[in-house]
Amino acid sequence: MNRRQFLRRSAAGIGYCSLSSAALSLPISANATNHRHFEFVAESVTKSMASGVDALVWQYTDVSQAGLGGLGSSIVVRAGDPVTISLTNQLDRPIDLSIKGILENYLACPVGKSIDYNFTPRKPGIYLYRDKRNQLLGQAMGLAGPLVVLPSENGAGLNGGSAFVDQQFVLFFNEYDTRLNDAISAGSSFDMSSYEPNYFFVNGLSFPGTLTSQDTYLNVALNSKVAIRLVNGGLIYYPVHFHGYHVDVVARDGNTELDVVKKDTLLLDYTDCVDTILSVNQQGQYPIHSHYMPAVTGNGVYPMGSIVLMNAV
Amino acid sequence: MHEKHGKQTLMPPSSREQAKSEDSETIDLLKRSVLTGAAGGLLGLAGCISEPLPEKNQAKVKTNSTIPPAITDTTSTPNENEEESGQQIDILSEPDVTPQSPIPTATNPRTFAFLGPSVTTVGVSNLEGQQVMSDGKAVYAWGFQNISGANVAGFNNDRLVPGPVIELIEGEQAAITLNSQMPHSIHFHGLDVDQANDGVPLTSGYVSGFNGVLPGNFGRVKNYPRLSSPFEYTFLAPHAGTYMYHCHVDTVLHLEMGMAGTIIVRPPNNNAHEAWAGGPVYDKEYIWQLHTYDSTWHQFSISNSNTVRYRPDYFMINGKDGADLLNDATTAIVAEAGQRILLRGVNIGNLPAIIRLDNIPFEVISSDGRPLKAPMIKNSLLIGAGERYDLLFTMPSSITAAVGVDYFSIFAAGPNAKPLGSAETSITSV
Repeated sequence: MNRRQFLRRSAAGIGYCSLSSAALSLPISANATNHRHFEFVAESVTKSMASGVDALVWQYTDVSQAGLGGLGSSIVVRAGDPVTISLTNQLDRPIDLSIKGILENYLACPVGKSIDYNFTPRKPGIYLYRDKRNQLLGQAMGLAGPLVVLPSENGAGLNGGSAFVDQQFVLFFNEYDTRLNDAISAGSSFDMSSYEPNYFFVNGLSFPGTLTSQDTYLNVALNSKVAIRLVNGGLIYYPVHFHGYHVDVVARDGNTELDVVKKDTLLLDYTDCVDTILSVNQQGQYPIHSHYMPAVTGNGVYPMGSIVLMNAV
Repeated sequence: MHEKHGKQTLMPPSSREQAKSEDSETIDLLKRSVLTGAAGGLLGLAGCISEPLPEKNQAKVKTNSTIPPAITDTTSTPNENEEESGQQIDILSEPDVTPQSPIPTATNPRTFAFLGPSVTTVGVSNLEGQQVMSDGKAVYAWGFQNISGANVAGFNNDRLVPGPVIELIEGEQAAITLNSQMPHSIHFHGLDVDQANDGVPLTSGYVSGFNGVLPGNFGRVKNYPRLSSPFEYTFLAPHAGTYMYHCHVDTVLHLEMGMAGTIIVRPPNNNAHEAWAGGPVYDKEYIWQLHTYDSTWHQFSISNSNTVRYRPDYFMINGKDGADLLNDATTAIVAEAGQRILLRGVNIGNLPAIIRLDNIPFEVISSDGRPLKAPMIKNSLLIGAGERYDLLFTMPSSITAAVGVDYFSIFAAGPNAKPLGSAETSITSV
């Protein structure tokens, strides 16, 4: 069973937890500790922003398996699993990899070198890994991804609590200002204070491309409970709006003691990671999208960008 | 600026990364409107929406006196194909207006009839026009009009945008008819309606009485199902609270143009002084609908490569900016000391915004039509695009102060300690 199958099929708290996709081949043996090893390469790749529009971006590429949707990498582990990320830097400047609350004392990875990042996540939840060495530039160029930490024990719900779901999806939001990408590609400088993105993505895909991946076309079953785990991997606010539904907000950056618990529009601040649970109670197709309307365009043309559909049958 | 729900604190930019790493003239539209004498449940807001309905809602359609004849030159869209460039669209047909049932009962849904802007050179002009801003400049805008009963043209029946306020009662059926020649829709944001009534062209279709080839690719809907006009949206009003509606056709532009409004769902007992059944009570209520304009976008009739980098130059509450806003009766809070005030913050714009009330502490009691687990005590509140928050406070004695809304850049990680602009109004105890 590959990572996609594993995550989608299974139910949280019943043996193991389901997630939407991506071949994260998680070797699960319940209540056992597994050393997880990931081999990442930080590299420049050409990314299609829209039909006929390419831009050079940076990404952490998992050499073994692609990430969610169109992401270069994504990680799913269990709480308590020792994790090693072996990062090889093929970019033209030192970079790093940090995870708020998990991997804070990071070391820079020199140009052309490799470095191991070791950590053991203790708290189940949704996290963001990203480059901090280059301040805002790394993320603006795409050096970021989602980390899912599943509960260590069978029978535990999301975040190790009592929130149980039948299915999980991760929606990782980010964006690009192609003036920046073009400047980096040309070896020029770019004033980050003038950052104004023009292309927007969810799991590396832009609508209507999001309709083509099971990571961003959310097939869900009526009367089921679905976790939608939101990650702001970009530099802008993402006010995420759910059509047809209110969601239960169960954790924000790991904090489960929340005052605002039911929302149809949820503001993701910089680096925010938010867990929501959607109780599927009506059939149909419902968009989930940023309500910052330029983000539902591709260079201003609607509809593109950060729009996904949930299909409840 | 760096506020977070639940634990909001203002923070200088240097701390960000570390901490988290519109007088009016009467237009004779009565001949094609239906005067039932019933307001169809729609309220014209007169400063305070929980006060009695103003008599002016009973007969006239009003529009901004500053609105000149419909403009004839709208667009140029650099970097776009000619086929897709924004062009003036000339559709001469009058809308088909059907009488609406005035009495909402359990078996007869509360009805509203809305008219969308036709974007014509001839025809209905009060749904599109030049909105004169406080600096005297005109900004081309589109709005919704409620043509049932009282013929409310805009928010308080005195302005083009935002759209008329819709009031519903929790648990009742609502039927809202949209008449529109050109492609438009109504999305009932937060009401959790079913797919057929969701207003999204891709999944629910768009409303248009025009069945020909759309000039300039208006609405960018050519691959989506057309719903003939008029189209009736029906749904059950959910939990009491604050919601909104907007056009979801070519949304990045139509929303910016002003096609949006507020929906209030009252408790089942229709008590206009109770937030929800058994919830907090209040003496007066205000709606602050938050919105900005990037006036450069308003020359276009379809989204294009110029409608992506949003640089607003007008910062509004309830469609008013600058000096026009200071004493606007819908926004300026005037109440007796000790009265309980409910302020419904509705962010229909693109940008994060902070409501500030001169350090008057308030309780945040609900958001997006749902009560909070427990009220949050605040003196400022960040509201993201599409969010709604209900604020409750006690009117201080002997106060006359500036209050308002600060709008911030979407660049969450950027140097955004200073707002891009503000909308200032006032609070006065009497």
